[in-house]
Amino acid sequence: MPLLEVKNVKKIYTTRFGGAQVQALSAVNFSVEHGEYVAIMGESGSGKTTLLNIIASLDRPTGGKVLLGGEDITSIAEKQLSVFRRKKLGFVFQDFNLLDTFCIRDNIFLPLVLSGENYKKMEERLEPIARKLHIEDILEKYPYEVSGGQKQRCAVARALITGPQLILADEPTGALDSRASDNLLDMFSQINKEGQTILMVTHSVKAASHASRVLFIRDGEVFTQLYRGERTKEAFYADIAASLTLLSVGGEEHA
Amino acid sequence: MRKGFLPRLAATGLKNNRQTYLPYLLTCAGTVMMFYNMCALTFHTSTIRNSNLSTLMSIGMGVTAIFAVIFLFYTNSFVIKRRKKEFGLYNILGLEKKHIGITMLFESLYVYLGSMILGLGLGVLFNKLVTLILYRILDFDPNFSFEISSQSIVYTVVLFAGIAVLNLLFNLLQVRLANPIQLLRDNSAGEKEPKAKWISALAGALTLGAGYWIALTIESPLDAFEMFFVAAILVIIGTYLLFTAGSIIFLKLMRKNKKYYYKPAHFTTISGMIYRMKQNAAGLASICILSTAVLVMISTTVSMFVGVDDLLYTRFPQEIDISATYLPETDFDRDALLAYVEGTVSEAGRQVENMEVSTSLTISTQRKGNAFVSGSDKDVSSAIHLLVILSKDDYYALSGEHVSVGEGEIYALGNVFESKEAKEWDSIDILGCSYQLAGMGGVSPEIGTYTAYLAEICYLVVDELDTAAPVVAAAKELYGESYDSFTCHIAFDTDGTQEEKMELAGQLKEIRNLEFPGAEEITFSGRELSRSSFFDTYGGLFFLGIFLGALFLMATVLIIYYKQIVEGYDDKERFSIMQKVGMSRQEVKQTVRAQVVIVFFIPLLAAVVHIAAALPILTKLLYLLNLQNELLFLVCTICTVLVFALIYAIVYSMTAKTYYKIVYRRM
Repeated sequence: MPLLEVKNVKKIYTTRFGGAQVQALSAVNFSVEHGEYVAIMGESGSGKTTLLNIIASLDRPTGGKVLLGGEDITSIAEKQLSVFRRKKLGFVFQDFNLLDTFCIRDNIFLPLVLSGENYKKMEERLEPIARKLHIEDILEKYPYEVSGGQKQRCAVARALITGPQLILADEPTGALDSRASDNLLDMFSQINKEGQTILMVTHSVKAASHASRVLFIRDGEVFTQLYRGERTKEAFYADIAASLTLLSVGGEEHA
Repeated sequence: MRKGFLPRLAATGLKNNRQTYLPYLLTCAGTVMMFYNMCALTFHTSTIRNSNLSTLMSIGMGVTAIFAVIFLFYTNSFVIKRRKKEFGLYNILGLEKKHIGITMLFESLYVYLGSMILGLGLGVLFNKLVTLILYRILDFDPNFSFEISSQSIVYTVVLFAGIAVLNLLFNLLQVRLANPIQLLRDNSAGEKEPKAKWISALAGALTLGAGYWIALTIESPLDAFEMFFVAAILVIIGTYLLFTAGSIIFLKLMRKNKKYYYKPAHFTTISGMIYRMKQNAAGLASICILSTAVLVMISTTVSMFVGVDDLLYTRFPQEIDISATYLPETDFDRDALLAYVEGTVSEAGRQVENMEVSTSLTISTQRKGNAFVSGSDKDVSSAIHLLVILSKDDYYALSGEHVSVGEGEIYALGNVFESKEAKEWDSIDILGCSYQLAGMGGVSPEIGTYTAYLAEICYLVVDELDTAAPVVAAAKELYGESYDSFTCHIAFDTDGTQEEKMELAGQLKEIRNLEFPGAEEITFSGRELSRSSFFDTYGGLFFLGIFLGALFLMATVLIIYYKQIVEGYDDKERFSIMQKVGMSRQEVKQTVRAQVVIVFFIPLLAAVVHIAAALPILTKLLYLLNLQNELLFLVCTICTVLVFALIYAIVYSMTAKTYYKIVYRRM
């Protein structure tokens, strides 16, 4: 059984005064296996962020189903949703979403504290993650005292610490310079190698070339997808770029 | 640039920021209204009979003016903080700082004109009501013509124009000093976590403790009067320091306790509070001080007004009090004076009741061991002791107690003579004149005439009053010819209605102009005759207390409102992040509520503690103003606190609603 199954997901937004309807997603179908690293690409307005929000249970689809580990997340009651999000999913955002009121350590602990975890256990869990992400030295600092790359690594630590089934990343390199981006993408690859499933939405071809599969979305549908297979990163990069060109020129063929 | 663009831009700016500007406009208008009223009352009362009242009102006017400057400056700084981003955007879009300045000038002008029209309109309207209330409190005839006070309008227009200019200059400076990027970011600038300032916290605890200590331990009303402002200032400083430094230390200690801190309910609240306290501690301390001021003002003035009869009876234990002074060597005929008084009373058809007649020498001194020395002696700083020297016959008449005392001796009665120290004494010394002691003891509780004095009273009983003649001579040498002579007191009540009492008092008052052989000066005081001046003073104070109380309350309410709005925008982002990371709506709401409740009610709690600590010193102060009914004061204070807490809670629920609206919007 795949870890994540997206079946026929539809999303229609109605403008505020009930006038025009905007179809963000028409019929999205795909699935993600355990241990996969999937990137979703598409132009602005193609619906990729809407899709991610639906998978993240931050938004509800107009139609269709999203199964995570066989459980339909669209039917989870509002009250249980936050517990579900906290336990099963980890988030990495473009703008980090760290809280200025907490030091880095407490930012990372936040989801565990909300679950009522015991303090000693939290420390035990943090230690290997902090070492892996090279943030042991900045744990006592505050978000406004560290660099963007460090912030994003902390956000990754926060996403990992609950041991989620799936990590959802929304343009994780969007606010980083190239060196910090490379660094972060290497970490994602490493985490993925250790068995963590990752689903990432991105604009960046470079970021996508780290993934094992790339989905292209156009006009609210999965337009095509590419598997990396045995290709090198560089070769995969070229293929993704070519597909993107095709996508924007408007080819009709499916790969 | 097209003509009329900037004025229109200013108008749009105001419209788009309704949520901040509407309350600001109302604040300005409210302050204008209050000031106009206070002004009008000052000018109005100066035309009617009482100078006491117009003095009180002009004090009120001064307080309101100072208050208006501080308060509007404070509110303005809140408002400009919210606008900076917008001005930064204008700047980036190509508006020069000069043009932004002109836009701001127009905005200030609109707000000024708006608040003037609204405030003066309401002020004129309410002036009628406020004057009526004042007249009603003072029991005046409300038959007078209302008019719009042009003088007050001029005062108001000028004062508030000054404030508007001050605020505009401040705002211009804010924009001028910052570059556009700073202006854009100003709201979201990452604030450093506050440092724990142990020294400030310790200083705060000490000053607050010292203030409380003074308030709680002060013994005599006169000391209370001297020390009240010292205590008040200590408490104000202590409150500010403790709110700013103490709160952060307290929260950080809570954070150090890992088991406690890493709990869902405490985690976000404590860290949020640390962050909040940095920006808000001073504001919260101000709210606390303002609340305390409101409570003190209203509770004291209300209890004085309610207890005005008590005040009269304390100040004038008996209906009529006539005293005549004479020198020891002259031959004063006390019986002739007495006969005249009794004659006048029975001529008026009234009966004398509770007549007390005594002749005494009253002298105010300070004590140095067993020596009572001049009150102006710099080396001594003990409490004032009021010495009342009188003959044993008169003491018997007053107290019903026989005292045996030989010629040239003194029998001393008073608290000081019951002390351990006094047991060693066999003589006392009064202004350098030495007397053998025949005995010592406490004062009989029966004595009434002298209780209106506030110093510690000692009764020194002698065989014949002439024994005290050397003291008079010594006093004259010290203070000049006009000083203490023997005084003959005649105090009594009469029967009859209030009108009859007034009439009799009016006749007896003439005694001041009559000649009695030997008498130097005759004074008269009547309780009923003094009633109206008491009413003026205490009614005026009551009115001022309510008026200024309302003004301060308005300020408190608005500060709270602005705080919550500003914080709402800050908190919104934080809470939406928390929700993304897996906090449920329910948990977010709980955290928000916990923080709001703490921020709201800590100042109130502190204000109530301040009031409780101030009760003893306030009671003593009221003694000075002749109110000795402690129970009345306590009841008035409790009622004031309850009413205040109720209003505060209503404000809380209203502001919290706006705050939640901001925080939960689009979440």
